[in-house]
Amino acid sequence: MNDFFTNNRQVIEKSLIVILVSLFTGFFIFALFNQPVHNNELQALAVTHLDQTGVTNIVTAVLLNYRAYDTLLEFAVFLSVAIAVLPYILDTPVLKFKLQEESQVLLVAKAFIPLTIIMAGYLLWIGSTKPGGAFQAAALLAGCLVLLSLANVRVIDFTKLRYRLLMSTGLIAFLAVILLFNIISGVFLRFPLELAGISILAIEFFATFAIALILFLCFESINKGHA
Amino acid sequence: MNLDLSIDILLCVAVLVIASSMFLVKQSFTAIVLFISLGLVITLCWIQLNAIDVAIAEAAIGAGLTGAMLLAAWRKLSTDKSSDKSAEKKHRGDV
Repeated sequence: MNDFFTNNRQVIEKSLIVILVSLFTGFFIFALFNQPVHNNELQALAVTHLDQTGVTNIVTAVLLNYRAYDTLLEFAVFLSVAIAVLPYILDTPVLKFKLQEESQVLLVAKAFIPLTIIMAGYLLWIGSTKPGGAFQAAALLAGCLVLLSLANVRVIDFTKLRYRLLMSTGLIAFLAVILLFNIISGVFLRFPLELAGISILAIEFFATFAIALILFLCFESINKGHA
Repeated sequence: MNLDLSIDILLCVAVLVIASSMFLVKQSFTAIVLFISLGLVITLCWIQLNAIDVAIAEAAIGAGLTGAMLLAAWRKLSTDKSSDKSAEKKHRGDV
């Protein structure tokens, strides 16, 4: 009996894994089919109160008005990530990639970056009425910065204070807006109807730069930071 | 079979095939490229689900930035390996 186990150990292990994984998968498929039918209560609620949020795009309304608390915490998490990654940025990069002045990457960057910046601005502006917003615009801007970094153009020196301040402007702007409304009208995390649109736009504007810089910082910490 | 359903099935199969082959390949570079293509297929899935904003974020962050970060890490790992090898050779030459 013992011999049987020692001789076929691999086969037994593999079949055990297969049985466990298929049981797990079967359970999930079973659970999926036993889900109660999703009746979109929340969507109906969100749509009926859309005129009180200051924006007409439902995603932006949920992110920055109904669930502004979540977004505020999300910005704080982003800033914590930036603080955690900052030690990996060095004054002088360890790896140096030499590219010629007119390398292909730089040519591509020159052609695409102006267009991408315009696209990011458009996405930020359109966020109040159509799909778009700070996060998408920030992703595009971070893409521009990555392209420039790959072309060996050093745009941002993360050791400078002003870039570190810029990284925290998302959270600072959000907190400032909340504090302002708290002092004026005594409510916490609720935007007055006539000022909701403009305050959401202001928060998104600052958040765009903050998130773009933090995303680029994450890339740069791997690309040119410590090993 | 209508067109929408067949596109959905095609996307599902593509996601499963790319995701499983990502785990099965041996070279990390191939796995990274498969990861980026998985991100692009998932972008198409989000578009099919009418979530354009999630699709933009997925394309830019899931496929673009994460892919760039993984490739940078891969390059750093391979340069570290080659520098290790040259250091070893020097050491052997000294001995």
